Amino acid sequence: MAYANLPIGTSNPGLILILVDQSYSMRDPYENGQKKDVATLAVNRAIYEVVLACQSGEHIKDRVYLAVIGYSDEIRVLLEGKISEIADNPIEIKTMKKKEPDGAGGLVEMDIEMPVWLKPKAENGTPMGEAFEAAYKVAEAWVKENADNFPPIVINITDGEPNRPDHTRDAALRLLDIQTNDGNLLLMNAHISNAKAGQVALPNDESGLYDEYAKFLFNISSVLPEPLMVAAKSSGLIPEKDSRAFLFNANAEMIISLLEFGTLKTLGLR
Amino acid sequence: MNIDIEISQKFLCQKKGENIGDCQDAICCNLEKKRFAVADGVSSSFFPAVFSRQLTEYFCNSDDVINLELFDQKDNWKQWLANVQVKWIEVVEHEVKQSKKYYVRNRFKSNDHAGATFVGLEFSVDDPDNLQWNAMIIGDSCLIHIDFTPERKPQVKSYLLQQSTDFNYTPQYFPSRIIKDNPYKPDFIQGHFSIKDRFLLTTDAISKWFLTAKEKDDNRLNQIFLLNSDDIDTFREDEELPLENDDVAILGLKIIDAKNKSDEEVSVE
Repeated sequence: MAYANLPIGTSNPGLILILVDQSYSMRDPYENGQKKDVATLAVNRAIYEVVLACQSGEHIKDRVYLAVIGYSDEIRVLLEGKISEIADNPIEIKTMKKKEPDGAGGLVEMDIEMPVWLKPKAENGTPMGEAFEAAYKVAEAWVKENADNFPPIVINITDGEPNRPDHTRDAALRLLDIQTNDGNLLLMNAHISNAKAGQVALPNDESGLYDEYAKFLFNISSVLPEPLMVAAKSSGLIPEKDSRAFLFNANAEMIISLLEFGTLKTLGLR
Repeated sequence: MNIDIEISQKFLCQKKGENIGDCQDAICCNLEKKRFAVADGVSSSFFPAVFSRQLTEYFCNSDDVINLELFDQKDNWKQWLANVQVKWIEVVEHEVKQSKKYYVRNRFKSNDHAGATFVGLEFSVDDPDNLQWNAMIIGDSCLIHIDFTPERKPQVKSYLLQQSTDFNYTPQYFPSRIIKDNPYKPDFIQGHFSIKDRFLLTTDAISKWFLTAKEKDDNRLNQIFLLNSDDIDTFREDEELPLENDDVAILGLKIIDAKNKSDEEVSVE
């Protein structure tokens, strides 16, 4: 059975690739900030959760190889490496006030040191196809060394249409062809917008999608394999048979759920 | 007749690809008190190896352990656990003070905790006509009792999980801090035993392997009694009956007549 080499571990690590749209339109207002702020916060938080899930005492076990690619005026590999290296090298640690459980059923405010690996950015266009090509190189190299492991997971967070749709589709399909002996690479697309209506989560049929761009992203998203259905549900998502790993007009909460599903739950880290 | 407990196997083995120092399982024995324990730390929890070691050592060695027959009455086990939780906090507080890592400090500040599954077993041999064992078990670490009562086939009983499909990624566990409204509670099991009986205390990977072999009527089942840490990778690589790649703890116990020891081979049909 495919997608069975779980949970990942130091002898069978997983690969997580996060692609972040950093185009100009990511300056648009979104929730309580701008799209770029919310996307960056969600990605930083997701990386931190992976760090915690790999922590053993004082050490971080290298159960995950992680990369983040930003795309705007150019493609930048913003982060790449074993999770232990990433954990120990944030670009900044911010002290923030957070309410945490006090162990007696209540909450208490305390200072928590929050690591930052990504800074918000929003400039120029949306070279999504080139981002998929960059992801292909990282994933292909990793698969050569980890042929029996759980296949790579790619999570693409975007707010707009790609510069070159045909090229982007071809690059995505090529990315989807990457496989290990445990299955094909999983590509999850999350589209963020302020639209109050038309939110779509894990659709299994494009006929309900009114937007051509939504159909475009639907067709380059992986069908959720059966073994991952329980993981999706435990993140608060509602998959059905043949659901695609795709959110459209997603709010921040949906983005966080997809990141949690794609990073922690799918790989059996939590 | 002089009933005694003999340790036939006792070892830990880490997950393939990791170091023995990364192993979250623990084993403890106290032959004098006739108490034995294994524990399996939840790997993504906070300092689980410290907690699993403390649980097993406190169960086996402490004079505070109350007769297990009374343990579930008035929630006595909660006070026992609270004593271990105090010890865990002391050790971890010291580690955190020494640590330069933000993620260690954050988790401690957030009152994060360790989790561990647990099997604790105690024998009562004072009355040779009423040999009794008592166990406290939480989660998917297992106690396996092979009952060699004469004139019948050996009976294999497994506690708490009975079949290989009962295992999942979310077992119940003891937490290393007091958690309000904690829904997890150990089970208390009792039984009788006789000379030549065997007991295995095992963490989940081996337990699942054993139950799978039993369900398939696989004659490799008896190999469990001869296992040592050097054999584990071979078991993991077996194509028909693979052992999952996870930390392993096995404690094998033999009930013997110390006056008339024998080295019979074990066979469970």
